[in-house]
Amino acid sequence: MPAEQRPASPAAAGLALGATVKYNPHLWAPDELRAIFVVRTRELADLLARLRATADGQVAQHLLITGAGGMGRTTLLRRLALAVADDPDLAARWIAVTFPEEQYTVSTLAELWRNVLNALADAREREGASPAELKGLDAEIRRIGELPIEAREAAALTALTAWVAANGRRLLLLIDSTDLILANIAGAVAGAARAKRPRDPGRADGGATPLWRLRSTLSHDSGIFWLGTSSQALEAEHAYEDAFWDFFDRLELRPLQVAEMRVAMLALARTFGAGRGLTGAAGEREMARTLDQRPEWLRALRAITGGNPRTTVMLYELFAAGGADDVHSDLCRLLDSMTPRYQARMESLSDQARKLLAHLLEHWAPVSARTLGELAGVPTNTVSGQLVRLEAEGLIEKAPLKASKKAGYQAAERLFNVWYLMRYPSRRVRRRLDWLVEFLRLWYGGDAMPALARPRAGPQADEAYREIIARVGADAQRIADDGAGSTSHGAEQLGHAPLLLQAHLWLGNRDLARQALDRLAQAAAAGNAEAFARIREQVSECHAIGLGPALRDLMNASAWADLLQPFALALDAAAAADPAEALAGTPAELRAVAEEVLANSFEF
Amino acid sequence: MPIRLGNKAEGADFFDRETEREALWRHLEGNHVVVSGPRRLGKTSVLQRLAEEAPERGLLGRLVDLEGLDTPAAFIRAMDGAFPDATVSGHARGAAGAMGGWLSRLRKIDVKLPGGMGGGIELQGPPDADWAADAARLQQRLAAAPVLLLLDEVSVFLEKALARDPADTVRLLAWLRAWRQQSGLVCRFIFSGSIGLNALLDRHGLVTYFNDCFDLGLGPFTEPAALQMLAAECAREGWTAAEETLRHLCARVGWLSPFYLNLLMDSAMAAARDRRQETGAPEQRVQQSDIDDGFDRLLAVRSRFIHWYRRLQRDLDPADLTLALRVLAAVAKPDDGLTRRQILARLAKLEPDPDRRAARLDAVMIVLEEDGYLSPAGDRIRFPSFILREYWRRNHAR
Repeated sequence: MPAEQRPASPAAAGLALGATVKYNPHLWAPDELRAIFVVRTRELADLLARLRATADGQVAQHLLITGAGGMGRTTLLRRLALAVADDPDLAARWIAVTFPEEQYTVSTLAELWRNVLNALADAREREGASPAELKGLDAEIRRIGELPIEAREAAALTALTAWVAANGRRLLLLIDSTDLILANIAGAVAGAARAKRPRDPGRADGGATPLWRLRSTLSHDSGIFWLGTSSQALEAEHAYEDAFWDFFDRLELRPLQVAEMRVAMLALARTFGAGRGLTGAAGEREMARTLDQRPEWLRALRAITGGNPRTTVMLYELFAAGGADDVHSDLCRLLDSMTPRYQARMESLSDQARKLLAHLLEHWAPVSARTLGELAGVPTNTVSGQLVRLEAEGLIEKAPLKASKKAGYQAAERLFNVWYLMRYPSRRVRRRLDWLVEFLRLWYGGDAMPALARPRAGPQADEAYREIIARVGADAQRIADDGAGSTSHGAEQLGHAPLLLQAHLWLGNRDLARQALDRLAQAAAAGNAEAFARIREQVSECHAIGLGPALRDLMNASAWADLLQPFALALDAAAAADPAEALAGTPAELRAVAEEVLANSFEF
Repeated sequence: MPIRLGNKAEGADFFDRETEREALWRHLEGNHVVVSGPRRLGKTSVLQRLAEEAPERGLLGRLVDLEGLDTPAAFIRAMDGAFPDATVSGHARGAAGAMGGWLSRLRKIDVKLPGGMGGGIELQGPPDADWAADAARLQQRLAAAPVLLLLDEVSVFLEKALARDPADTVRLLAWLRAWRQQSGLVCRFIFSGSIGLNALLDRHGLVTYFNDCFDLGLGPFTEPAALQMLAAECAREGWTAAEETLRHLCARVGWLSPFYLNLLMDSAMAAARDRRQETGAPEQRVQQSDIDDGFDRLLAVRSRFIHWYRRLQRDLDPADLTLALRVLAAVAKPDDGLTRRQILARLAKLEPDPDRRAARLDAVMIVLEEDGYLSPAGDRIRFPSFILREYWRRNHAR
């Protein structure tokens, strides 16, 4: 739909913005892009400063924007193009030339430069160039296409140089997936023998002659500034002797922080709507209200998305609905909609890589390469190589192991991990689903729990999810049904403290976890037997999912540290190679209690 | 102006190298020269500067970029295009005085031929090749002209051309050598190559085709030059930095390649901007902590480094891989690298036979030097990239 026919805000038109448009930045109208673009402002400012500082006649410092999928590379390029057009001084010196995200047809330099000519003509058309000028450009493109193949590259480049000289404006080439284009150009060179590297014939030749010709052009022609994107540094695939080794400067897009995600969510609400058809300032206010009511949701969102902007956009709808009773259906629907993408992600991997990734996903918490190898039955040195590859592809990331200075690995996109655990839960994995129970409690809060207790019917309902909801519902029902009596009174007194303790520990919300622990300890100190049972339960569960040391530290720092000392000692002993040895030297009375906790709480 | 990282440095971006330039001009009076050194050292920038200085010395200098060429015919065309007739004769008319100075400084080039023959040789007829006629015309035009032919990225060109047609490429090299050894020669050649030029020549048995040239290895900046460059770049960006801060940066870089100095400076400035934004500090002053933050930021980008390890795993046999990893781990630990003797001592357990150990080390060093992992610096072998050294030290040198 042409931009001028698109409503200023789809939400204002009463239409929900379809996923296709929302998840495709190149379909956003300029005003939408300006409104939504709120978190990469520093990077945009940096790029604009570089353009201003590149003097006329000076060869530019070419640059690649790098980052994993969904980090906003394409959006930043598009926003930069708008910013250049919006600035009269920059627009007088530069013309931003944009391309479709993947230029699948480019496999030679001749095709590349012809594509640039085509894109230049498009850019001039958007600027309102005269029909005569556009006709001239089109004629030149046609003429070049009719030349002998070997003459087209030089002719296209000459045409571009001539345009720059005649118009006094330089070409800002905003080229997405630069790494793929270079690989295509290199791969298309027939008989490109690598005299030095006969053992890797399958790898694209980063030293292919056309790439050196391109490098020569970019090194000497001041009329072209190549500002592209790449999923990773070119040096990840190119060798030291290759053309573009350490040639491009890099701007790495890092994951969003919580504060940035909040800014993004408010901008999305303002532009695409929130709540029940609220748009503009009202939508933003509604979103702010939702976020302020449950600040832990943003932290959970950050943990799940890994700070990935694309996934953030996908999940913002849940917040936009404001926590209504069909939100959990939306979550399931969202995960269902992710299935083709996530499934393709799994299927694109080699058997061994997929196996390792599956074990890592089942583990949820960070896991060392060694442990992963043991779980998968794969030698450690093989595991390491596969993990390096998975990390380079952005599927996993390094994260500190619990209670250790060493680093392990976890899924980079936690939502992907959620999807996997919900789709492929083995009996062994069901125990891991405890974390999901706590997450749902956290996500939806106590008010929504009775609603969650309603079984979710439907042919697409996932078996494991029904079990989870049933468990959550059963707990909610139990708490709701418990009447007078020490147990029910105790349970009411405790509220959701046991579950919130674990969930907040997992999320790293130390203060909130401490509040939950203090509530339990206070109740226990007052003689609440249920509280003691819940503390013991949490000791066991936290230890099982790797949160034992965190809980121990919290207990030792608590105002109720004396009361909690046996539990802390038990956690220490449980983590030791020899629990009995670990308790040696402890005063007898304490030791006895700690041993009882050990015996009743942990499986050895 | 952004700090230059990938492209050649020109104008105000070019710093120092005075000693090297003086040495080159001195050697050119009696020699043709090969300028060698690892990548990202600034060889192209030095050549460009010489081209700019050439007129005051009576020469017409042109930088000819050989990257992207892969045939002798293309080579000839590129040289022809860089020195059009009109330009050469125009220079001769306009630079008579300076030319006279150059001619008076010229010394007859000593020619060392196989078999101990000496003395100049007459112009040899070009070989039987499709580019022969063009080559002959070019040589006739330029041989007696005061031109400085600065041929950049020779090793890239040679590798491509040799892969395509070894015999034709050797004919080109032979013709070039004969040209250089022509009597009464006024023009001069400078060849620049980084990517394993010497190893490439050795591998193809072509060392004799360049052994008439003086080999000038380009090294890192001196500390005064590095400090001058860094201070100027700071000022240009509107920032200040105390000299001790810049010295700290130099210390962290170690081997003062302008590329790595600029890389750390760029990262440190980004860290300084973030600090200023977070703390609201009024002055734009780069601090030592910014240097350290910038260093850590460079190391935090794992995708920049993972492939160094993976490449070795991919390209080396298991035995060579073990040796290479042992060498790299050893050299990574001290800041200023190790001598060859020290490295050999650390390999004794892996390879007890001393002769075999030395041979294996030499073989693996070819790969490690050519691929940019290590570089000789005087009598020591070290990582030219401080970032790579630090990455290796933290991840693979335990």
